[in-house]
Order: sequence, then structure tokens, then C-alpha cells
Amino acid sequence: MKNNPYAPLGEQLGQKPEYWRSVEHKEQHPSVTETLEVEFPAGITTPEGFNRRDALKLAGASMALGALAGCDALPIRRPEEEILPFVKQPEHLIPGVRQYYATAMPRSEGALGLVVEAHEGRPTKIEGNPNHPSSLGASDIWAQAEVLKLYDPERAKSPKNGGQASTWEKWDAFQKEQFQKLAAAQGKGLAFLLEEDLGPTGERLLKALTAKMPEAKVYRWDPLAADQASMGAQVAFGPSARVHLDLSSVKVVFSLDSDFMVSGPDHLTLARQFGASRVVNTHEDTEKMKRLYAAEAALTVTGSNADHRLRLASGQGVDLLKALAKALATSQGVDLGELAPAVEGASLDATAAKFVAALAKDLAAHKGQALIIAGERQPAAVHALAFALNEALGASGTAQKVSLGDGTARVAMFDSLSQLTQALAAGQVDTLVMVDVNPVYTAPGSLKFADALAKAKTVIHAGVWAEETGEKATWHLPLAHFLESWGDARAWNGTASVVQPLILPLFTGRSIVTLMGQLAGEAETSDRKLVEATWRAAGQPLADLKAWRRALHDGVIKDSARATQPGELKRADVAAAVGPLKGVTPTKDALEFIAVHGHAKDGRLTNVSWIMELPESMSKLSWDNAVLVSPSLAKELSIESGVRKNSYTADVVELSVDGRSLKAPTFVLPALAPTSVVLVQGYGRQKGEVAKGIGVAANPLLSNGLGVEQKVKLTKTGDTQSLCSTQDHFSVPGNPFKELTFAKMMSEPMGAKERMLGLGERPLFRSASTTQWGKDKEFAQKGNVPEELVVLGTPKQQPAKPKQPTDAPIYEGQQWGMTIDLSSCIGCNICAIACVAENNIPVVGREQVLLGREMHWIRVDRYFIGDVDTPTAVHQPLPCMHCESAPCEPVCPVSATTHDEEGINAMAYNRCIGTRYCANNCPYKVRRYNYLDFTHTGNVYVEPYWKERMTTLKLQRNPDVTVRYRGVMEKCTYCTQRIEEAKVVAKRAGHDRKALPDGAITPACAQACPTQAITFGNINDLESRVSKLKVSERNYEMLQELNIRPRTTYLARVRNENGELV
Amino acid sequence: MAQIFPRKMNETPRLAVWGTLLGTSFIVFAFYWWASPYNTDVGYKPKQPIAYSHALHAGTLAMDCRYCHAYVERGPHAGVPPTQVCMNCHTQVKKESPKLEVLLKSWADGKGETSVAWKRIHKLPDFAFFNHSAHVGVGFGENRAAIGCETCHGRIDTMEEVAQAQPLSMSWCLECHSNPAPNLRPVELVTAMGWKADLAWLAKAQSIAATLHPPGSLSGAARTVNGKLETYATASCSGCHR
Repeated sequence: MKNNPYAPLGEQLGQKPEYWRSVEHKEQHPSVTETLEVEFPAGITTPEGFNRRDALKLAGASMALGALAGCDALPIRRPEEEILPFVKQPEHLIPGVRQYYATAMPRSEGALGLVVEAHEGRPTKIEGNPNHPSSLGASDIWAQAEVLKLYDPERAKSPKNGGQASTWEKWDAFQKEQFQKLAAAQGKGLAFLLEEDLGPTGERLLKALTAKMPEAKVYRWDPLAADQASMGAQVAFGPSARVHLDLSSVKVVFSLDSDFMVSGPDHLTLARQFGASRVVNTHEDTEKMKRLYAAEAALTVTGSNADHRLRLASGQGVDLLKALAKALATSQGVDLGELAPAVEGASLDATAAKFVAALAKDLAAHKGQALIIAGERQPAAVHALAFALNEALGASGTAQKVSLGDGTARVAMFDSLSQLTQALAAGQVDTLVMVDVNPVYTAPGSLKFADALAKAKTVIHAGVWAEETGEKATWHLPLAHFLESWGDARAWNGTASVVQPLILPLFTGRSIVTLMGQLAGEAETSDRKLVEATWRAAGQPLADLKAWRRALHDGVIKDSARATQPGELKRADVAAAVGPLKGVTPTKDALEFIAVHGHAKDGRLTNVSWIMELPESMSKLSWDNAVLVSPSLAKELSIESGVRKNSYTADVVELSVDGRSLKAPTFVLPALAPTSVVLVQGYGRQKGEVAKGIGVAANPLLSNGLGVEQKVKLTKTGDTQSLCSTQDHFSVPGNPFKELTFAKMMSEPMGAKERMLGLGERPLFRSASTTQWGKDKEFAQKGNVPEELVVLGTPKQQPAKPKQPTDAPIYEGQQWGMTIDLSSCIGCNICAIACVAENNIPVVGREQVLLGREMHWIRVDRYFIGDVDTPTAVHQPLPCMHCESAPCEPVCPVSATTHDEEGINAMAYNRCIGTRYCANNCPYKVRRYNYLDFTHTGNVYVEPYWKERMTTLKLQRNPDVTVRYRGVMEKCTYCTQRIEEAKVVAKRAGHDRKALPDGAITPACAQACPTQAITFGNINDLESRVSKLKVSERNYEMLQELNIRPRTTYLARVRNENGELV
Repeated sequence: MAQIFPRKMNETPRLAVWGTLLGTSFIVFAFYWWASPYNTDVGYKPKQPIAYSHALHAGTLAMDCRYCHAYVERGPHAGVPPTQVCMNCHTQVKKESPKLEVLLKSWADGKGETSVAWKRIHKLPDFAFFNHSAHVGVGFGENRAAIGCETCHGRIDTMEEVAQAQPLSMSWCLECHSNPAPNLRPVELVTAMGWKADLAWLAKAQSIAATLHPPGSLSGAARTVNGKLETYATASCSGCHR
């Protein structure tokens, strides 16, 4: 290696990277370092059964075919095309002008307010509703994916009876007869399995039904509900109480096994509040920074954002929190009252004890500004203890508020499902109605739900898809998607929204409200009328037509939130609940198994191809899930799992507990707790063209509602399997300046500019702690090459003026630019999926991702820093940088990629001939090439399978963006369609299109970002937000030494460390 | 040894050279002209389902274009009128005309599901994004002007059946984008047919055109490209190709 003059200098010097993407990268394994040097990691895995010879054969054949086709009819004259105007034009619909409607997405963790974009009546893009308390304008991956789910061609198209297609008329007849019989028996034998909340109208109809049939039982099951948090609140504050968290005034946060920034109640709001405090433009601002501590087993997105993270098995969570409580009480003088005896007796190892001591001190020092958040993998009692500690730390009424519901006691989801299973097994259930749940797949394996279900006489399942449960049902009824139906839903804080449809049901589905109305014996079948009956009846808040319209327009119903209060803590109950609870310390022979929710959630998004292709935030696994193991555990159990020529080869292991078992491949992920293994849920589905056959289901191993299983045995099966992880794809060498060899470098006199160019560290990712920043104001510029070598005499916030031979470029008017704040970016990956939705980015499939051909225009690089076992992780979103002197432009033989007058490195797709020179020359590796007809638009041939599937899927496409065909290069355009749209709007209104106000344009990534880490605007306007960020000390250019002057710059990450733990 | 080729074969190379030259120029010409939109698209006049006369409606009756093409100032598409717009008059006028059979059928079904299937005449490729509303009003303030309907669509008021008047090719677009002044007209005359600019307007149009240039081109004055004076009204790729 020493003799290779082209190897990166760091390597020649024997340096290991400070920021590393995988264990192999850290250890400079040749399989990874070699791919640093090439444009795409192509040729690393060869497509099976297809080689160059075949390609040539096919090329010959297609030429012959082309000639034949040419003989048929020379397409000189284009085919006739029709224009079909409306007979009666709907009001406000202008062809080609997008429309926005406010609606809400019902969820068990609280509804999310949305603004949905529609083109000629078809929804194409989902955004958050700025008026909605749980969204504040941001959205998450789940919300973005729903628009593709709407168009899924596999959605049920008609009711099914006994597996055979039936009709709604037959169902209506059956329902009438069956429910008459049930009503006569007071509902005996009737059971419901529902999600946490059907919304005000659904619950109203359910109440009417149970009033009529008092013997009917209602069970609830939803793996995504904030179940433990709700049960904990019930222990701490009484039946149906709910705890509302607010980080705005908090300075110190402790996250115990919680991923509060990407899932759970109000996660977007919490992420916004956390992110806002991390935007620090001067060192003085660091005073306002929140400090985040995390203790967790799995590596979550929230944990990766922690300033201090402790690896702790989930089973030890209770010990840690007890120890923390004790430390607060004994050494920090926090009064715990009756709780004090209950928190005795927890033992922790030295690392954890040190962490707890420092954390207790910090929490106590910030009394009134401290908050503890427990996660869904911790039992209810731990949540209750966390609430109690928050009260003791003075968070009541500010950071922690309580709202009391109607006082009915809540049953834990797992208990509810167990009761149903028992009732089913005992033959007590005659008719089971399941609405929008899929327990056959999602139920923990220990319940054996599917076996019990077979005992029910009549099973009625209503769902957007048939799914596994629908297959086993007597009747499967297609539900309308929420974008197709009227309804209502409440946010976590109780704010109600009317769910309004954007399109009529595509596949004859009925809405949940209509279905519940029918079951309750309502004569009204219109979902809109049923919702209106809830809200517009005399005395109701929206009785006035104006108020109703206002609620539809705003997407929220004013003053409908639950009343909050500081809450009256039931200390004795908390002590009784948490006292007997003992922690479990897993060992390598009795491992802890953790099932976490990833992008696919509980499996409801597994059939959405966007979700499958989007790499998981931490493992970067795409189209696969695997048992994540820590590097130390892998070593101890001699599990082989790693990058071999960029395809990840993994040992397959068997996990077993109490006779339940599963087989899955392994993936080594640093920073996991040493004796915990993690599996992402939602995979291993039996249904769905996209979902089936991918990954392994975690549910069969589970036996509780926490998703944590103790005493799990791991055995190697001896098999290996390839995995698809993008963690080493498109990696950029840290110091690509390779003009000089090491030997030549050393022959230069010390201090020579050439020497400075070649040597030294120039990290792609730059970060510092607040103290380091205080000492070194220039930390973000560390490693930049001398300014006179790269910056051609322009102020920092202005784009550079490279000397070009032909033209004297003039930078006036609007010049677009972007900053990405690495400090407030939490790494949730929403930018990537929002970009996919907005820009018609195709999904390529697992085989192509293995070849490094994924098409995401913005990728989120995840780097680790530190040693292999306890590193911290950071995230870096990387779109096209729109370089001022872009290396891609001069190499294009056909000028398909050029600069426009506002500085965008534009792509004219129709001009591109696919040489790929540009991608080869892009140092950031952000250009994406359509190797195949990924969009299935084929102007010659599309497989019938895809033709069929695309009939509905193509309705999602954004008509303002070209759908790219095979052989075309593409990349981030700064959402140029939105820029042009803003200009046209300005022009239409008679304003100057060359002076758009700041904020008139928001790219899709920035719009969806929960923490507003991405800022876009005019860098020529010194008053714009982006200009103000660009003069920050934290602003740096990635690969500045290349003098290509990227317009997208980064704001270096700042950590708010506690001096005691460093 | 006898000669294999007769003497007259000496002409062959010369003929071959001429043949190649002529053949090549023929092919070049064929592609340059026959396959270009100037030849293939200009004059395209498909048979429409209704023998609708623009000459009568826009010419004789002098109806404003925007009565039917109502979205021209509000959206990318000018819009083909819904049946309802036709019926505004035709419930009263010429109710019995056999020419209106298709229209009346579309109206009569009551469900609004039978559109009149007009044949599309002006079509851009899918990768080119054209916006009518961005062209019928350009510039701002006192420099507001418009590109008239006539500029791209021709003398519609004289067409019995509408035919494509301009090639709608990229080079044709760029002609105007390089030098918009001759095609500018006062906003209020956007739909006027046969309008001719006077000298005063021509001078004003020059000054308006100067404000349309991207700031890069020397604040409105023309700039020299390859020794040629050119002006640009947004001519970068991203304006139309997204």
C-alpha cells in the first residue's frame, strides 16, 4: 500500500479516519478504501446471470428490432392526442395549478395535521400543517409515505367473503342479518379489536353501538400507541391521565431508552424544540443549548444526538432510574417523599454509576429546567417514576403538564390483546370485528393469536390492505385511505381536526366512520354527514357554517385541546408500582432481544417501496433487516459479519427463548449495548408484492408489549447471507487532494503551500464541544487550505467568481444557496423521503441498491466518532452542493449540466446522453444515474407486471418535475420547480421575479425538516436567513481545498458536553 | 494482360465523390428541414370533433380569447373551455344546428362524464415546461408588457379551423428569449389580433426588454457573446427544463 502513489495521503501516513462510516472503514479494510476511489461502488457486486457479453448481444438484438420498428412507420408526425375539458368546471380548479387542502392523519400516538398538495384532484405530496400543534409545519417519514400507500395497486378492490371476491351489497345484507341477531342477544359473542382511538365520530358511533349491545366487548391493539407512557401516566396521575411534554424551557434532558425525536407523541414538536436550541451562531449562544443525556441499548436517532450516551440494556433501565432517583435524593437534596424507600437497592456498574452521578448533579443544578423522558421499551412503572422525578425536579406545569380525560381506566394494549386471545380460545367470541389492525402479523408470538382466531365463527376485518389478518377473515372489507375519507382525529394534546378527503375512494373502499355507522345501525351512510353530526349538531363547536369552514381550512378545530394542569402526583402508587420492579442484566449467554420500530413502523409501511429503499437511520440497511449486534458481542460469539467487496456478508443466527425462535442474519453496529441484540420490526411479511420475502419478523419472539425479551439464546446456524447496507456507498475520501505523492510532499520545505495542501486533516464533518469552540473560534475552518489559494477575493457570503476564460461572470440579483446545520440536524432521514416524493425519484429495488445504484438525491451519511464499542454517531445530509466552479460541468460533452444565471447547477435531462463523466468527476458523489428504466415509463417496452402496477402508482408523480428515463443523469436541483413556480406567481401578481422575498421558496427537504436544519435562500441578499447563517463561525465548505466553491455549506456541529463526563 | 476494367470506369471515383457529397447534403437537408418542426408541425390541422370556427367567434363576433381560454392569466395552461362555457350562449343561439350535435350530447348526459374530445394542436414535449401566465404578463411596474396570443398562435381570428402557426421548437423559443422586444405589446392588447407596434412603442419595448434580462447581462444593456450583441430574457435551462 505504501507504494501506491495514488492512495489517499492519510492512508500513506497510516492515519485512521476520525469520522468513520463502518467498522471496515475505521480499520481501513481494502474493500472499503478501494471504493473511496471510484465514482460508484459499481462492479463490486456483479448482477447475477448477466454479463458484458449478454449486454452486447442484447444491444445487437435491440438495434435489429429498432430497425424493424423504424420500417413500420417513421414517427415524423406525432400521434394524435386529445384534450378532454370538463363538462362543468369545478370551482377553483385550474388545470396545472396545484391545490392544497388541510387534513389530518389519524394515529394512535396522536393525529398529525397535514397540508396535502393535489394536482387536478390527485394528491401528490404531503406536508405538515403549520397550524397543527403536533406538526408545526414539519412532517415525518410515515406521513410522507402515506401518499404512495394511497396508490398501492394491491389495496383491496372489493369486499371478500371466505377469500372470494364479493360485493358491498352482499356484505350489507349479511351485516344486517348478523347484527340483528347479535342485537337480539344484547351483543353477546360480539367483540371488537380496534386501534387506540377511532376519533371523536368513530368513538361516538362505537358508544352508540355498545349502548345498544351492552354485552359486546371492545379490545384495543396498536403496537404504535404510546402505551407504556399512557399506563405510566395512569399510575402517576390517575385513570385516563395523559402527560404532555414540552422542551421549550428545558436545559437538561435525559432520555431513558426513548426515541422521542422520531416516534411517539408530539415527536416533531419535541425535535423542533430540541433542534432550535442547538442553532448557535456565536459562542455566546451556547448558553441556551439544551444538553441531552441518553441511556439506551439500541442505537436510536435520539441517542445519536445525545451529548452523553450510556450503553445500557433495556432491562437495566429501572435500575438506572432508581439509582438516579437515589442520587438525586441523597447527594443533590431533591425531596422524593414517600418514593425514597422504593428506589433503594439498585446496583450499577462503574461506568453507569459515574454517568448517574454526573447526570444527577446536572439535573439538580437545573431544577425547573430538567426533564426525564422514558421510552416505550420501559415498563409503565418506570414511566411513572420518571414522571415523579420530573415533578421533584420542578418540571410540573412547565415541561411536564398533565391532562385528565374522562376518567375511564385504560387497559394496556398487550393485556387487552391477551384478554381477546383468551376469550377467543375459550370460544366466547362468535363475531370478531377488526378495524385497521393486523394482529395476525403484529401480535407477540407468545399469544399464538392466529391459532385463537381460527376459533371465532365470523371474523370481519376491515383494512386498507387485506394483509395477513384479512386473509384469515370470513369477511374482508376494503377501507378507504384517510386521504379518501371524511373523519376526525385528535392530536396528542387533544386538538381535534377534521379529516377531509382529497379524492374519492380509488378502490371502492368505505371509510371507518361509514363502517362504524353501519355497525351501530345508523341510517346515514355518508361519512361526511356522520362527521358533521358530531361537530355541527346544535351546541357543538362547529354548528355555525363559518366555523366549520374555518376548521376545514385551518386543519384544526380551535380551542379543542385538553385542559392541562400541573397534575397531582400519586406518590404512593408510583412507589408501589416501581418498588418491586427489579432490573435484568443480560449476559452473552442470556441475551436481551429488542424489537424496535424503524421506518416501516409495525409493518404498516413495509409494502411502500419508498420506505423499503430508504436506509435505516443508524444501520443504513436498505431492503433488509438484521439482528444488530455490538462489535464486542460479535467478537465473543465469533460472528462474522462485514463488508466484503461492498456486499455485506453476514452469518445467520438463530435466536430462541421459551421455545420460540427466529433465524436472521446479523449486522455489526457499533454503539449497541454489549449484550443486547436488536431487530427492526415490520419485516418478514407474507403479503405484499414489495414486502413479502424481505427480512425477518421480530414478533414471533416476543411475549410482552414492550418489545423486549430477556434470556434469549443466540446460536450460529452456519449459513451466511448477503445484506444490503448503504453505509459505505458514495463515501467521499477525507482528503482527496492527491496531486502530490507522499514522497514529493515530504521533499517540500516545511510550510510550503503545496505541503499544506497535501497534508493535514480536512474532515468532511466538523464538530466541537462548546469548550473547544470557546478555545478555538476557528474550529470549523480547521484544515482549510490558505484562503489565497482558493478564495478569489470575494466576501464569504458571496459566491466566488472563478476566472473563466470566455466570459466575465457577473453575480447579481438572486443567487441561491443553502446551509445545512449539522448541530440541529437529528438524522431522521425525512429530507431524503420528502425529496423522493417531490422529485419523482424512482425506487430501484434491492438488487440495484446492492450495486450502489440507489437514486436518492439527498443521502444522510452517518459517521461514527471514537472507538468501536462506544462511539458517538453524527449525521450529515448530503445533496448536490451546486458548486460555483462545478467539476461536473466542463466534462459534459453535450452541456446537459450547466449553471443558470441564479447559480443553480442545472440538469437538462433531455440533453443528457448518459456518458456519466459528470458523476465520475463529482467529488461529493451526489449524481445519480438511471441505469435502467427505473420509472417504468419505457417509450419502447414496459413489462406487463410494471405496466399494471404503475397504472395507479404513477398517479403520485409530481407533474411539475420531469420523469426521467433510462440513461439519464439526475441530481438535486434545489427544487427548481418550486423556484420557477415562485417566480411565476410573483410575475403574475406584477412583482419583480428577480427579487423574491426571503422564504418565498422552500425546497422539499427544508419544508419537511422537523428541526429546520436546512435553510435555503438568496445568498446575495445580506438580510436573508441563509446569508446570516453563512457568516457564522460554524460555516464551512466541505472539500474546500478543491476550490470548487459549493453553494451548500455546512454549519459545524456543536456538542454541549458536561465537563465531568468528558 | 487485358484490362479488367474498361476505360469508362475511370469516371467512377469522381462520380462516387459527387454522389457522396450530394447524398450527404441530401440527408443533412432532410433532417434539417423535413424532420424539423418547421416542416412537421407548422400547419398541423387535425380534424376537430366539432367544426368550431375561430374565424366566426374570435373574428366576426370579436369575442375575447379569455372568454373561453379563461386560465391563460392564472395558470400554465390556457385551458380548453368546458361544455358549460359553450352552453352559456348555445342554450339560446343555434340550438338546432347539426354542427353542435357533439356539444349538445356532452351537455345532455347530465352526469358531466362525456367531454368533447378536442384534438390537441399545440404540444410541447414532456420535458419542456411552458407557462402561459408567465408570458401574457411580463416585467413589473411601469415596465409591464405582454406577449400577445397572436405571437405564438398566429391570426386565430382568420382561421376557420385552427392550425399550428409556429414551430414551437426550442430554437424558435430562444429567438424571442434572446430578443423579446419585437414581440412585446401593451398588456391591454394581449389578445388583440393584427396589432402593429408604432415607433413610440418600439422604443419603449426596447427599454422594457432591457429590464427582463437576467441581472448577469449588465443590468439591462445587451452583452456581447462571441462578438455578437445579444440580449437575454431568462434563457437558462432551468427556466423550462426541470
